[in-house]
Amino acid sequence: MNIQFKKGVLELCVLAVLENKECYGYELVSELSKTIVISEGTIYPLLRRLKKDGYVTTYLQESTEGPPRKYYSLTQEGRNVKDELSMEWDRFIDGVNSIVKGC
Amino acid sequence: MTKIQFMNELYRWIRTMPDEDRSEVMSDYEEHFMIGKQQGRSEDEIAMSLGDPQKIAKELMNNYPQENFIDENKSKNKYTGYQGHNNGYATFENNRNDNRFNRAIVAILLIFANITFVLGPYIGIVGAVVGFWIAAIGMILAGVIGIIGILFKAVIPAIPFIHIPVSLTIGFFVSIASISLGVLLVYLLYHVTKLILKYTAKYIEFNKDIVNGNR
Repeated sequence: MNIQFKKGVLELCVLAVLENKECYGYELVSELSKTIVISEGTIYPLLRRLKKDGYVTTYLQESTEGPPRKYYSLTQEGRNVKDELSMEWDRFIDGVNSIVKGC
Repeated sequence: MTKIQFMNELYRWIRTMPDEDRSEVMSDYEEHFMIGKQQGRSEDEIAMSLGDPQKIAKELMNNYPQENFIDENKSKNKYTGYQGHNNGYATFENNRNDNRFNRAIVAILLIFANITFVLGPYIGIVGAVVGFWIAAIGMILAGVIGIIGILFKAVIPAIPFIHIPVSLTIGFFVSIASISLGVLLVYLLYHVTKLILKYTAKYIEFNKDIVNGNR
């Protein structure tokens, strides 16, 4: 599968998970790995980029199990982007399905 | 791959990132390893699922081509390996402070060593070369003055100031010889001096490299 495409899909997935629940890095990676195969290390660079783009913010939260953890949460702009990407994805899936099932 | 190996490798490929950003990145992965270990996973397993540190670094560096990367040659932060802690967040800033302290010590030691062993002979050599320069220029001047004097004497034999102890002809050729030798000496000295300057510069660079930990 094309790398750029996979990156775009991964971005949608990350935003979708964060829309549901604010997570710390490890938590997010675990959520995603449950259903899709990803190179886990590249989630953090993706999160950095999303933060730089203003779609995500971070905060530190004390934890009972050790040092503070960095939590990621969606900004309003992040929600907007997630909605857009979600629509694009639906359109794409519909398009592919009609080709694959139609032929 | 152990955590240290992973972190070392990662650090190596992102060392030109601005300090703050790089620190943050290392902290993120520290946190990841720590939580994974708390859940009972081994470092090896965690590193494996994270993937290739070099690829991760490439992603990080790619995301922002306009990021203000450090020019490594100008940076004092040469890669000396990961110095994070096993508990809690990495503190890479310690690494830099040790570096500065070490470099200062090495610089002082080098200065002392140079003064004790190198300065003496070096001054001797430079002194000799300077002496030869003076001699060479002296020979040329002597020859020139000699010729001028001889010419005057030849034209006006009765000139009282100038006293040539030998015949004019001999005096003339001696003067020419003096000038020639002087010129030859100057030519040789010019190249010797160039060499000395070149090797002095190289030696200074060598010392600088030692202080900066490049040797």
